[in-house]
Amino acid sequence: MSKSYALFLGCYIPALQPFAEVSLRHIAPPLKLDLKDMEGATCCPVPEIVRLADHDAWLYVSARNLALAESLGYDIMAVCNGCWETLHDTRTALMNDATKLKEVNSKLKLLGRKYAGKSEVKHFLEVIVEDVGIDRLKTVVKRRFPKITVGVQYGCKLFKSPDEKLVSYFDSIIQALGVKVANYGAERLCCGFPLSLYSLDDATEERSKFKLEQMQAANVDCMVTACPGCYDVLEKAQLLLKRQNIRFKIPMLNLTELMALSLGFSPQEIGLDKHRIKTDALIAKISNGGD
Amino acid sequence: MSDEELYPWRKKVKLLPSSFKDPISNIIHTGHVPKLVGTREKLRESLGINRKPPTAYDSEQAKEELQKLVKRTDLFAKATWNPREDQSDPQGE
Repeated sequence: MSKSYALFLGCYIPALQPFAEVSLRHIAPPLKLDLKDMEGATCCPVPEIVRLADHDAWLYVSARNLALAESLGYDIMAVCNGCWETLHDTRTALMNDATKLKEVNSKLKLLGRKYAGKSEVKHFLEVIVEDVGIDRLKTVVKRRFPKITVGVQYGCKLFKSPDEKLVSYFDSIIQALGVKVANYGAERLCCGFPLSLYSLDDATEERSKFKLEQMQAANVDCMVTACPGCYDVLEKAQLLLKRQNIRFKIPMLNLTELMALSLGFSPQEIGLDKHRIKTDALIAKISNGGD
Repeated sequence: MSDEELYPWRKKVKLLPSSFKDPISNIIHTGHVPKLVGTREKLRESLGINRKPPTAYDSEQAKEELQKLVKRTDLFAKATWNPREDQSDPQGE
């Protein structure tokens, strides 16, 4: 039986990384996931900017997104670490503060909306491990790629989850897919996304470049992440450094893309050939028996 | 505990980095941070999905609702803050 979720796409995936959306929509049916589009969903909103700029605005906009899911009658599935953090933290704040919930609902009432806390917030990783199950995932995997080495970029926000459970969920999924995981030593280092919102040059120099150097030294074929923010800054850092004649060529993949490849979808079906960082070598390896 | 109690030495941010203006303005006017320009719509279409995602990108009502919410906060002022007009202490002291 399919489990239904209100799909919260966020901003970066639909606008900048549609490959993640395409691959997610491909893998949903075999995983028996019924994804309901949240029409009219906005930015979560991005915590590094809006939460800092105006806490009330952050809370009200986030609560509107929660109310939207609740009006559909489903729990939210977030496919972005930042969105998960915002929606999860908002729900927690409102469920633990009746005064704040009343205040927020007085604003939502102006829109004809209300949030009562019925819709829970789940990260995609939680949905796969807790609701789909690793055993089910293993049964639908058609190709494993033991000759492909991935560098895992967890993203800072996963380490905020209780007992870092989302980090171990990520590991469980990767293990089920059968790829080789590089131990590059900088897995816990921030990619620099928050700093990149202030200065991409600073973020690249202070964070991204070192991470890319470590991954390159570990001979990864690609980087895998569940965070569009990490994907964005590590991709931009490579393009920025290329102008300085520092070349990395480490393709970025969202976890949903790796899952789609493992479930038998071709690189072309999920747009792997359309990434900004060239994926020719990776596609060749997949086609020539990465498994 | 309130933020003031948890972080008694935290400075209040008076002036945001100017790099925040555009993202805030984009959120207010489009509902999202990145703009959905033609090349990005074409990429979506080439992947077999709708040019516009089923979010505020494709919903005037969503944008209006978001604007109704943020008009009741200081976010609008922060999006239109002009550093050349603001003669107050740039360090926010």
